Amino acid sequence: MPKTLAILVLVGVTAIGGWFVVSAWGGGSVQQPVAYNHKVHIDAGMECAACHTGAEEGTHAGIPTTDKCALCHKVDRPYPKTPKDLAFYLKANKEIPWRQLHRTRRHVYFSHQRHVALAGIDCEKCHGDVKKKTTPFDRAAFPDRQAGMNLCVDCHRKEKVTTDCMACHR
Amino acid sequence: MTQDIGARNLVRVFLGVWSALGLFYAFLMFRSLLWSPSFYIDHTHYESQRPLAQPAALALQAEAKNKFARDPGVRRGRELFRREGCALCHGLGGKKGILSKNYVKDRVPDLATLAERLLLYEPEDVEAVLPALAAGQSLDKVDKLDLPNPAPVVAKYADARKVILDGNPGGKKDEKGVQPIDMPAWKDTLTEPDINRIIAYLLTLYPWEEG
Ligand code: HEC
Ligand code: HEC
Ligand code: HEC
Ligand code: HEC
Ligand code: HEC
Repeated sequence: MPKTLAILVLVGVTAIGGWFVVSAWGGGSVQQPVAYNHKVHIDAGMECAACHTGAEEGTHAGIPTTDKCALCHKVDRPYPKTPKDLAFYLKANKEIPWRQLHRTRRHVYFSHQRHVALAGIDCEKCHGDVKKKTTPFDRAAFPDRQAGMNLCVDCHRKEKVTTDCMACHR
Repeated sequence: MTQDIGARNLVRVFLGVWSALGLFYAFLMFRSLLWSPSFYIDHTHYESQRPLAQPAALALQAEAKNKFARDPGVRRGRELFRREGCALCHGLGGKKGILSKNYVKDRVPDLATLAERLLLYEPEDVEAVLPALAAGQSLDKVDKLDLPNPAPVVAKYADARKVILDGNPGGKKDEKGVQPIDMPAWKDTLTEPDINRIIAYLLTLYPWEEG
């Protein structure tokens, strides 16, 4: 009896430990509700900040609402091609429940306007080559998987911007 | 001395707990010596920091280029143009429309040159109509416009306003091809004064030759 208990405990501990390791190692990818494709929209000439309207003027870049998609995508038209998953939300007139993946910790203050509009930093510097992305985001694509402090501080040093703890941690 | 098993086990438990705590403490010490955020940032160069860009300074630059850029009505127009989605098809500065399959002109019309299409060929002409529009007034309701020939301008303005209110199907290049992207109708989303403010914003975008 104690032996089976010990084995059970061992299995339990290994499972929990394994889960931690896997989730820390780049597993845990999420499925977005619609197979969104950045590339086709950028190739057609759309600009990042036209969809992510907060990127130049706000703290949060934001993800466009469904009524923006509906400006171009009509369920009954062949062009632009509207896949079934998108048509479902357009017909039901429901918001697409996008999963926001890029976020900093709660104790960090980050403003897109400061970096994009005022410092003129390209989205690519932090988010990688979104222009060529044909699948929706399934994980945060920051260079270090997370908006690690190094990402911020390395650039701030180079650009001679503040590295005062209190500038970012509020 | 008798062997008191209970006492001996108590001592073992006591020592065990303390050494576990000690090991954990040693681990914390080690970890903090190995990496701490304050090691990563060794010093903060307050003296060599560059000054931050000031939003107000940028706005003043814009103002130098166009004296109406800071008008509240024009700024409201600009905000709506971006927020409501006009910029998705016509571009953020109204400068470059997106590609639209089988559309007569390939690209959705750009709007930075709207002034010309409203027959306003000089900066002074734009200045004559802009204050009313920025205040949300419709040009056909304004008594007197300081223009040499206001009637055609007002007619063109009314056409543009109608296209925004009611939308307009995209013209096909090849009759048998797919329907290109249409101009959507905005009458449920935007009020007429707001549409006037958007037109005012677009009129400020015209790339006049500096002379
Ligand atoms: C300004 C017009 C416009 C807007 C707004 C727009 N799209 Fe598109 N979309 C297009 C065009 C053009 C294509 C290319 C379709 C084609 O070639 O048939 C496309 C294609 C797609 C496709 C198919 C991609 C593929 O792999 O074939 C998806 C999915 C899609 N859009 C989702 C969205 C979503 C979600 C939104 C809202 C956030 C959106 N679109 C907003 C114009 C637009
Ligand atoms: C200096 C680095 C940096 C740059 C440049 C940058 N971003 Fe971000 N972005 C971030 C960080 C950090 C987050 C996480 C923000 C948070 O948690 O509030 C983020 C989050 C986002 C998100 C998630 C949704 C949201 O509301 O925040 C989107 C979308 C986004 N960025 C788009 C853009 C676009 C588009 C651009 C270019 C116009 C851009 N970003 C430029 C660092 C950057
Ligand atoms: C047609 C609208 C549209 C345009 C244009 C667009 N995006 Fe997006 N973007 C979306 C949608 C919808 C999502 C949510 C789906 C996803 O995660 O792929 C998204 C997601 C993102 C995210 C991840 C947000 C998160 O945390 O989940 C980033 C980063 C991002 N976009 C950056 C960009 C950049 C950089 C550009 C310009 C090169 C751009 N986007 C252009 C619609 C757009
Ligand atoms: C690619 C370079 C770059 C990266 C990466 C970057 N920054 Fe910055 N940051 C800048 C620049 C440049 C400025 C100064 C902008 C200006 O001139 O207004 C700035 C300014 C700031 C400010 C305002 C500073 C002040 O004195 O008030 C904060 C806060 C900030 N960044 C936070 C962050 C955070 C948090 C991150 C990481 C998620 C980050 N930054 C990543 C370049 C960067
Ligand atoms: C340029 C912005 C910036 C500056 C300056 C900065 N940090 Fe950070 N810091 C961050 C970001 C962003 C994170 C979140 C990293 C992540 O998501 O893993 C972070 C994370 C941390 C963490 C880890 C917290 C956790 O939840 O794991 C600590 C501790 C920390 N910072 C302390 C400091 C101290 C102390 C200083 C000053 C010496 C400092 N930071 C300066 C941006 C900054």
